[in-house]
Amino acid sequence: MKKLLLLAFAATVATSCDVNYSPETRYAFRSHLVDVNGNPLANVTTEIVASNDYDSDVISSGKTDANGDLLLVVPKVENSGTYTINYSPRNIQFRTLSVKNIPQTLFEDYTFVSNRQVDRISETVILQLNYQSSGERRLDSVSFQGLIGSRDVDYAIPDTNGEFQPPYSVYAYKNQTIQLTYTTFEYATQTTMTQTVSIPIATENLEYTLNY
Amino acid sequence: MKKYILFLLLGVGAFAQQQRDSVGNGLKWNRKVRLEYVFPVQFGDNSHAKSQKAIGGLAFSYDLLSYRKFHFGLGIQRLIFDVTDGAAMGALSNTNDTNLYSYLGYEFPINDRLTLRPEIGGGYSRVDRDIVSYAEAQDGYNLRAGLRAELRRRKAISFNAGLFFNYNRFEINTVPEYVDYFSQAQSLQISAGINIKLDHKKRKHKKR
Repeated sequence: MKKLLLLAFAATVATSCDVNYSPETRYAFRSHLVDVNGNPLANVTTEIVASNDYDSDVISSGKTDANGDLLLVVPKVENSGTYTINYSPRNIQFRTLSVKNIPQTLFEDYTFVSNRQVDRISETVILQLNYQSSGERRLDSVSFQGLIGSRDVDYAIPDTNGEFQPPYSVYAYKNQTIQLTYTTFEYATQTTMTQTVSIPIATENLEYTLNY
Repeated sequence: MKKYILFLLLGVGAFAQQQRDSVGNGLKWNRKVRLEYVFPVQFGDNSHAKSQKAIGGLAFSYDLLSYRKFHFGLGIQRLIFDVTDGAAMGALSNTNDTNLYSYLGYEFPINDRLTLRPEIGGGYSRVDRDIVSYAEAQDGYNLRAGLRAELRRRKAISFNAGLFFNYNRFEINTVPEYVDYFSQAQSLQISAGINIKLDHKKRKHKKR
């Protein structure tokens, strides 16, 4: 009898971690996918994953149409659960892409819009970034100008103690020069300074160290 | 709240089962049950018609009261649908509609064996989905109207066939252009089944 009760209790605990839904509320995910030239990407398999702290479900999937558009409608996940969109182009020339941990607060009128550029793997290289501090300044922001490839987006808030976390790698299109603009804060003078450096990109992956 | 309504309706049914005699002024307790196979032909621009395919289901109804040729009863039906459009419905293999309703019918005897019976009714509806972890269902209501033909084969048993228009309205919060798509369903329900008059022998015995 005790074993039965224990088993029932374990089953209750196990099932309570499942992702639960409220089908009386339905969210729409509108995706529009293009390549770097703005051409629509058809037949990109797209799946929506609903998650809570313990579990996740693939709750919907579909493929983009000839215009690169796709609408997926899914039930609301309960208890502040989040959604992730995974794009997997059928053509293996293209890189997979994800938009992760989308909170329900980002839905407007029950809709989340995801217009994304998907990159051909052969057209991009990986730019590895290192950051070397002199100790006199702190890095407050980094941005790029140029043909930069799409990256996964993660809406989960990382625990950084309020410090800026710069990107450590980006996809950049080959044979170009990209501009890296960064902002620093100098402790001694309490001033903010914005500077730009040029990084030539050839046809191979490269590593760049930003000294500040 | 909805569970309490269900218990209340079942309670009324159980109470009626214990009654055999007239309750006065021509009002009688009935003990006639009906079991049917139901196939809904869904139509309209809604998720039931466009994103799902009906498999069919079972209905159980119970004539509780009669007054002259009027009959009042309760019914429950459960219908199963295959999901054909995962983009609109989510990663489901099927959905289940449950309609719990009360109805009022009027009997037109055609001859000794055949009776036509127009009916109207309505009640509570819900849609359950088959994702294992689903905790909630989509609630709503149903309205129904149609005609049933009953063919008596034995004194206690008769067969029936019916054609009903069924309208469902479900609660939904979603993008404005999809509110109607997910909130309503219309169908023509084709049904066939058997009726059993439970108190037939007892009444016959009483008359002697």
